[in-house]
Amino acid sequence: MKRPLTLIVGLLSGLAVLVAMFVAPRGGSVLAVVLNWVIVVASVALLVAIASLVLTHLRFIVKGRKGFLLSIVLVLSFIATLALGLLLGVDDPFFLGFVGAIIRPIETALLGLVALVMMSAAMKIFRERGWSVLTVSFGVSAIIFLILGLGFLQNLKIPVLNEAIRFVEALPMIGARGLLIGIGIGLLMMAFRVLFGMEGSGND
Amino acid sequence: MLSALTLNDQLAIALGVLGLLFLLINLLLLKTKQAKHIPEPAKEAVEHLLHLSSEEGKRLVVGLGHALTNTSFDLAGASGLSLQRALLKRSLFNDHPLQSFSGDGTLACLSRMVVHGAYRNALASELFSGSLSQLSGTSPLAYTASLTNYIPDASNAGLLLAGQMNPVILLALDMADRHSLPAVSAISSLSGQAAGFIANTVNLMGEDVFNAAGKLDQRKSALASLSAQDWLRIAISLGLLLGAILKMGGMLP
Repeated sequence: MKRPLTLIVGLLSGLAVLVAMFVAPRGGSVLAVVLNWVIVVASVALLVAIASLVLTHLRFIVKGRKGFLLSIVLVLSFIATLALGLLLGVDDPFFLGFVGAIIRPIETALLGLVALVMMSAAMKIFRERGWSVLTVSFGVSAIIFLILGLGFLQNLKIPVLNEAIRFVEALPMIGARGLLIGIGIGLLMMAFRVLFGMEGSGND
Repeated sequence: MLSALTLNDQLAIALGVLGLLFLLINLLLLKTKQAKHIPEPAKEAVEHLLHLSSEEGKRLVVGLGHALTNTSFDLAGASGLSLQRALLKRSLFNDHPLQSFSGDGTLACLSRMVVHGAYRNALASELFSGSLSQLSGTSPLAYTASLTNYIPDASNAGLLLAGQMNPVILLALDMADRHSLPAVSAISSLSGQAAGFIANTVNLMGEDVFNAAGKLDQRKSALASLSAQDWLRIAISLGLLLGAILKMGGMLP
């Protein structure tokens, strides 16, 4: 059984934040204080999670678990970044340049890979799911929006064509709104479950 | 005070109150285990993964997403936790327990609490291990790279993505496809759902993303909220129709 005090504190805090959001700017100061608390708690949670990650990988190294070499890389990079950050400060240009020089090329390469994978998945969709109304309409709309994205048709400056393009460009928004309403309903119910302690963490 | 609010705020409050009312009515009316309103695709997809996992004695990998408190607070980022708890209840004593990955510190801590709670409630605290719920990166790319790296492991039975993710997650879905690992994506962001659509996965869209846990859980509160969700959907449809008629009649600006 969930502890009643925890439940009451959670419920009252949730309702207070909800009310403060709607009566801003009068409730703005309350909201700012609560948001600051959230930031502090989230930062502490991140520290706990990172500490736990490092401990888990240290355990992998000690046990010699499969893939422990990657664990060594993780622990060494963590120690190096932490030591440099503590010695030089997190705003130091050398520190930022050092970390950035490693992270940026990797992230750029990954994003390039995502573009390729996306293209390959779009091609594979016909092989995996066959030629159906769904896959054909997906392919046709992808081609249409690729052409519209080039901006060539818009530059022709034909009023009727521009009107048609505006209509076609609004179509994804209609579908997206339908999905967003569904997500909103699901999220609202989830929020109520969390607010009234029905969701729980399993640590009841 | 209400008159000072914008029309959108008033509508949001009205929908919230209506949702709460429907939830309370359903909690009072619904008998436990009664689940006639709940759509099946979400449940079937996740149960398929569970069967695979228990039959083959392999591990189910769950990606919980990377956005609960990372950039801004987004409750949708925690949508995978209820699914994780529902799955854990059924797979606690499997040869390979459920393995979850989070890309957000708070989410990782909450996920660990869920895993610990599940083992404690089953009086098997000694089986709990911190490595069952790991932080796998603090940015979307780091999270995806780490999750993708874990997928080829031969002891994995399936991949379940549940939570807030961006289209980069396609890398993980593609890796699962290359290793013939069945995947289910219940991603709560629109772009993530689009990524799930083009990948070779069972892709849950819209409110289905939030339904799978309720159906698996079979708890009265979860079932009541799913029923209330259906009622709210009808109310919104009627409201939209009414709004369109009023707009056409010139009664709305």
